[in-house]
Amino acid sequence: MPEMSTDVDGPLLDVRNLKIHIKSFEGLAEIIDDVCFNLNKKEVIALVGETGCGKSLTAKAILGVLPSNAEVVGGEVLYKGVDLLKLSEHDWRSYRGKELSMIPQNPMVSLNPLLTVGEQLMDLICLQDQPEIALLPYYIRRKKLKKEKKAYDKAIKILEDVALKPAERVMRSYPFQISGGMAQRVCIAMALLGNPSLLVADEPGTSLDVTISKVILDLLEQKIRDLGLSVIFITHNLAVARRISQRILVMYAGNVVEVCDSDKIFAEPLHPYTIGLKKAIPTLIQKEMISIRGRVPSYINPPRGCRFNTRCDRVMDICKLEKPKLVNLEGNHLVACHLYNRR
Amino acid sequence: MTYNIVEVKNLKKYFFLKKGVLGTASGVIKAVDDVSFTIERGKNLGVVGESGSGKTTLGKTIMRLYDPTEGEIWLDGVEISKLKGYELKKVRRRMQMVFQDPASSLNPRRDVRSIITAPLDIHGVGTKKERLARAKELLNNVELSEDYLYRRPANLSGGEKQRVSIARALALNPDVVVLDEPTSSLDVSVQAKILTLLADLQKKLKLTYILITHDLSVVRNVTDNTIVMYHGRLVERSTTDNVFNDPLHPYTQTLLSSLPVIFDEELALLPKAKPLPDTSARQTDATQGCPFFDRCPEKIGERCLREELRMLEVKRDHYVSCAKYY
Repeated sequence: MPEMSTDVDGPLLDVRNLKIHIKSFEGLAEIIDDVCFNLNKKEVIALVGETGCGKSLTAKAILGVLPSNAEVVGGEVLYKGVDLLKLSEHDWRSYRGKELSMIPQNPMVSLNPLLTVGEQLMDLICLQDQPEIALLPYYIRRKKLKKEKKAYDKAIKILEDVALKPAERVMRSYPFQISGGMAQRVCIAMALLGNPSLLVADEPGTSLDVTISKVILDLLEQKIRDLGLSVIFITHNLAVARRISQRILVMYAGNVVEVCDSDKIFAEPLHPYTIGLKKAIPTLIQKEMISIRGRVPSYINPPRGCRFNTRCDRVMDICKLEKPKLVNLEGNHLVACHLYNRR
Repeated sequence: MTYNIVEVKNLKKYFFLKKGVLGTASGVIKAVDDVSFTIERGKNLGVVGESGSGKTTLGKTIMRLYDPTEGEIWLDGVEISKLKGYELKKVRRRMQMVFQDPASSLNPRRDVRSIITAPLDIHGVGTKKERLARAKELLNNVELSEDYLYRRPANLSGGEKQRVSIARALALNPDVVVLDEPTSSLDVSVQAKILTLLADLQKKLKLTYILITHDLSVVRNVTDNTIVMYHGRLVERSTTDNVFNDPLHPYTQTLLSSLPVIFDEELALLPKAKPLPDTSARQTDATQGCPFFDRCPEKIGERCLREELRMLEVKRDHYVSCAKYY
């Protein structure tokens, strides 16, 4: 097992030049193309972008749970100085759930419909102490799993921690018997079970109503503060991203195109894509919504150079030849666009 | 003199739950309960509320896809809530619906031409040639090229499917179009395109939209009047400006204050957030009184449950059903 240095200066997570390809029927899709970002301790960053821009895939790569047809072709994911991409499944056991954890996209689908919430939670609690059986097939695992006496009380406690009351009733319920908001809370409870330091939250609350979604975000914010978590928050809702995160990373077609502090990014966006998004969002201030022309390019033969060049209003010759690098302008505002490179 | 194209009076739609082989009634769900409003020609109505509040049922009942349990629906001066057979079919040409999820409301085995011309076939409009010409015209209207005629839904993107759905709804030249969550499955940049398209079509074809959505910023930008629903009841009804600038019902205030926003200017427009008791399900069993009682941050006690609910004109053209104002 690679050594884990406990005290590392610099970012908690450092993603460098990550490239992921997916094999599909049509050919090789070059989805994630050179994604770089870092996450400091106790920082919340938001990955925003439209459907299919590679947000979730990036998160899955960080957690080492990529689908079988995806392949990492380059880059590093350094967590406390250890390259996660090189970990074996065996080594992953001491990371997944304990160091890194994830709140899945759709809480209703992520819970097992055949088991009660309580059974799932208690399994998870017992598994924490018996990681060696974690990779066995499910039914064998359940047979081998040693039941812990305290598991029930512990499960009740963590449900109460996420404000699920009455916890006993939730424990007895099957996932279809609880509401979407409650399922989301259960998933949050599960993700926080092993006291992780890095949490990846994939669109929490988006499938819920605004009022419920707000309560869930409040809960999550409070947990992040209390536990001192570092969070990668994935969402397509720019308003939610602005609310919860300190920094926003805008992704387009597998690239990070702009990084900026959350409260500044929409006041003065620099990348033409972010500017386009700003114009397209409906707001409470009545204004004309202007969409971005064209559509997201195919990943099988992505445009050369900047991937936004087919839709950009300010496209130049160099955009079609050379890929822009993410450069730091003033005050932690990073942009990948040739318009700003010339300076 | 204003002219109301749609008038809904005390509309109710109850679903009766049945149990066992004999189908004995075991309960009733009041999906739409005593809803009244009017729509002027060319003025869009936004229907807002959380999921399960009866928005879609209201839309479908107005379309007569459900038979109303009680109440009246007037379309352009004709009472349509009890029409049947041929009479109903005639009226249906004047109102069409764009369904919630374009991915599942388009038949995957039919091509775009046959999807768009289906309403023409059903109502026996034109010859085969004319129908094809009309299909091309409609595709042109929704800004798709003629190449799309023989594609199937599986080969269309989310935005394109939504355009085909809209084209199908427009095939019979309706006056009223019910749009059920037209953009909720789309990304922001595509959403902007569809909303612009809908606005253009409205100008061109003199349509009236009933926009059902949970996205408040879309309602703000597209509609003239807004109704807010909660548990099948109407809680607030007014012009969109009034509802957003001066929400009177505690539920509307809660809804607006929990809206995440992007720009600082927007934040100033929202009412101050009040703590929201965290229950979605109703706990008190009382069938009478305010459905929002359990979650209401401003309840005034017994009166909320005792008083008969009614819409009260609190300010000019601004109706609220809340015991606070009685």
